[in-house]
Amino acid sequence: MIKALFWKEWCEQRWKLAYGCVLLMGFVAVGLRSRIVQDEVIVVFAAAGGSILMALLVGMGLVAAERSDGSLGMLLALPVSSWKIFAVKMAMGALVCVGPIAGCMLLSLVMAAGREMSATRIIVPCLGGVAFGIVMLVWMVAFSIRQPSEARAGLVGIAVFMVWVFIISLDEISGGGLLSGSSLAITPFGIFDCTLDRNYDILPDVIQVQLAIGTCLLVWAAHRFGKLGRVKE
Amino acid sequence: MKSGAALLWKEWREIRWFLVAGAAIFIGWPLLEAVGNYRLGRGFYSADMPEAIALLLGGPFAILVAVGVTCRDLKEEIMCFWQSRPVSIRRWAATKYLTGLAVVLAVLCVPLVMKIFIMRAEHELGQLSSILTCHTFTVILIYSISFLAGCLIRTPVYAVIFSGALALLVYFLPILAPPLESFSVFNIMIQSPVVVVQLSKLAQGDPWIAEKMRVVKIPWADDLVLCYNIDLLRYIAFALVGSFAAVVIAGIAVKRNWRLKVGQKLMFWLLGGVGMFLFLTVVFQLRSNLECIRQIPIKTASEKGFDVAAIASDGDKGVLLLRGRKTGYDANETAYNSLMTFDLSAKEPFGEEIVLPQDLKSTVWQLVNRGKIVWSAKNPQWAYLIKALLSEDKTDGIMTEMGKWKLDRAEMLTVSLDAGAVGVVDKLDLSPYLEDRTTLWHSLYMLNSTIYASVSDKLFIFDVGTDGRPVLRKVIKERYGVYGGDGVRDVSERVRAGISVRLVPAEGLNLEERLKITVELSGYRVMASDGNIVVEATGDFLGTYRLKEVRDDIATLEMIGYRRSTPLERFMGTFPRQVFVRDGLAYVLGGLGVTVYDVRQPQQIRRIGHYAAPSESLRAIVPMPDGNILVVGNKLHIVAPPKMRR
Repeated sequence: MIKALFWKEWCEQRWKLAYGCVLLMGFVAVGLRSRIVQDEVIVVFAAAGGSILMALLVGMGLVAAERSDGSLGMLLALPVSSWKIFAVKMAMGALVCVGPIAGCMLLSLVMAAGREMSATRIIVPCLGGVAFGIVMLVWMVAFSIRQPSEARAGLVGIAVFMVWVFIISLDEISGGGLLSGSSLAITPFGIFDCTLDRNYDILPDVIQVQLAIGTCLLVWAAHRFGKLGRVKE
Repeated sequence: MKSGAALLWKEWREIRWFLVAGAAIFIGWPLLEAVGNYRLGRGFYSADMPEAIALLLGGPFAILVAVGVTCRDLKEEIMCFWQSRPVSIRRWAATKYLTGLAVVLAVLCVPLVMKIFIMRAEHELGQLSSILTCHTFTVILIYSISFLAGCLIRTPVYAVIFSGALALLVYFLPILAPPLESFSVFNIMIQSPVVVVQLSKLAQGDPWIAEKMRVVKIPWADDLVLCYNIDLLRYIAFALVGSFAAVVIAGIAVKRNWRLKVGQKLMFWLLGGVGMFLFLTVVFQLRSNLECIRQIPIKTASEKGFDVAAIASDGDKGVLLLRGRKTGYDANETAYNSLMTFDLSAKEPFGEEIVLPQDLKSTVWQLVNRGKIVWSAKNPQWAYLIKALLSEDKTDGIMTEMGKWKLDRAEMLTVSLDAGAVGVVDKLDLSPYLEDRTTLWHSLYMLNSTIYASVSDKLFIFDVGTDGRPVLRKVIKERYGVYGGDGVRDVSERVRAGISVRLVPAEGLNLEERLKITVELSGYRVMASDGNIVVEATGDFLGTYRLKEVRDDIATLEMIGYRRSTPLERFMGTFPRQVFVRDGLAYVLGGLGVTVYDVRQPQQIRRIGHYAAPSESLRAIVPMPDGNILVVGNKLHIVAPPKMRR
């Protein structure tokens, strides 16, 4: 049954994987070949932009689409516990998020390693982007899991992102530095920020904090996933 | 309650949350920043947050409002209800459109108007008025297009994506496609479309922009005039006509119940496709297509950072003037200067680094570094440079090209590059010959055994003896070089003008050599000559001139060709640093790399190649004997010339 669920999710999500790969890898290939800006700008932009785009795209369709189509009830009626269904969905969603960024990383390594950046300097921000994408997906799914339509799920995802941006900019405006250094670990941007700044000293702590937060969010989301909740009017 | 008032009341009830959210972002965020600035002692409202938010989020907000006001009431079941009401559909749609537009404009304009009243600085007001007069109409156009998308698609998420794709085109296609230049909101904003100035202070400015400016006298103010850009009127007309067309089509779509059936995949591919199309348009204009044959890293004795400040070379061999940088917070300051010889045909291309005395730091700080050092392959053991010391001029009323600085002292230095006897071996003080010292520019050019040095508008001619030491032969006090008009920047080519050049004295030189030396020493103007053709590169255009006549050492150059930089090239800041011409190709070194123009037919200048090294600070280009070019940055790049087609 789990295999069937994976197959169902794969059939539903694969176009997003193809979309992300074509768009992001196309951007990286053209950008690195044409050399209109530094290689680092292309790689970091692909990693950061790709992680946000893919998290949003995947998060919108993961659960909300089932609710709006009315197929969630049938899915929950299957002889599989709901958390397993949710786990399959999240696993496939994470794969779709990660795939295009990993593709960008490989392409960058083939095209530009050793030219302006070493292989390590390409891999590190891409891995940061992968982690950022997964973290954003978890945040988005956790907060939008009860939404009755993809539009609302997308808006919730954007709102989560904007609220964090707002909190961080508020902190910077006030000059408090509350969210700098280790305390930045609690924000979804923590891992990506550490990889960009090459702040490897606090990276293990940031990963641990993000794992803890992500686990809590996933448990909360899985708990709410099992309930039918609101459906589209 | 009349039906119109009832419709208005209904719309207000539905849309007020957009107003609240918009106000929180567009007014609240700048206020927060202002409070932060005030706390840090930088003054209330000292930052650019209102403008940044208006430019960045104005379009997205208009899309959300437009889609929000349309999609909810255009659902099938609610639509049937509206069709049963005794209210005209057009009236209903018009109320929706106008209410949403009012909210968008209120949210967008109020913070900017607030800032105009709080800020009184002239430059800030110019920027704010540019955004108000240009960007507001862009937002109206985007709102109208999104309104139409909402009426046709009726599914909020797809309507937002569709509108987002169109908004990307509205914002960025005109700046990327040169023929649409006049319809780019960013182009018009940069040109300060509307300003109120005093008649006495009315500046001519860039002729190309000046041609587009119109002046209207303000009747109630004697000394004030309103200047506006004619492109602004065209743009406003375009935005209003586009908006009107969108609204009319939206009305028809609602009345006839037109629907556009779209799916998620189609919408995302559309958005991605538009993004890729815009990116490819950028790439098509700025891509690097010249082949780099070889890159040679420059190894200095110091492990700290360095820049190549200048180069003197015959192609394969030459000498580099290096600027060693300090570390940490002072990374842009010069720690030391040094010379390094190179021979690209040798197995070990670089010679020993020769560190110059500390007091030479001031010689290489200028951005434009051509003509800072000369060297000849005939006497490779000698290099020559100018040591120019500046001092702050505290005399009132003195204004030099660098503000308050003036040239204090200038010396011609001879540096020995011979192993075992390296360093400065001779100094010639030029200060006694200098009078007006407000021109800080100095440059050198060497032809055979003669060095021409331009220092503060004086021309010094030196003969280099067999011992390598320069002997001052002549000082020319008359101002020479390029002067007169800036050339013509008129795209329509209705007016053709030229520039006048006072040539360096003859003394055994033919006319083309005199022109070449004069052009090479021509201060900040980036020019090069090839025979009787002169090429000039500026941030705005590349122009070609032909030598028309010479009378009393004054040469008249007639402009024969002109290529204005595309909006994208100007946006990316391709300020030229050096140009040389070979085989009918002009190689221009700019901020983004080396761009090659075909000037074999000087009337029709074509961009045919580009070599980009964006991670490097490129400083100089040198033609090599084998046809390649040497590009000097943090590495030496040997680049193949473009393949010629015609």
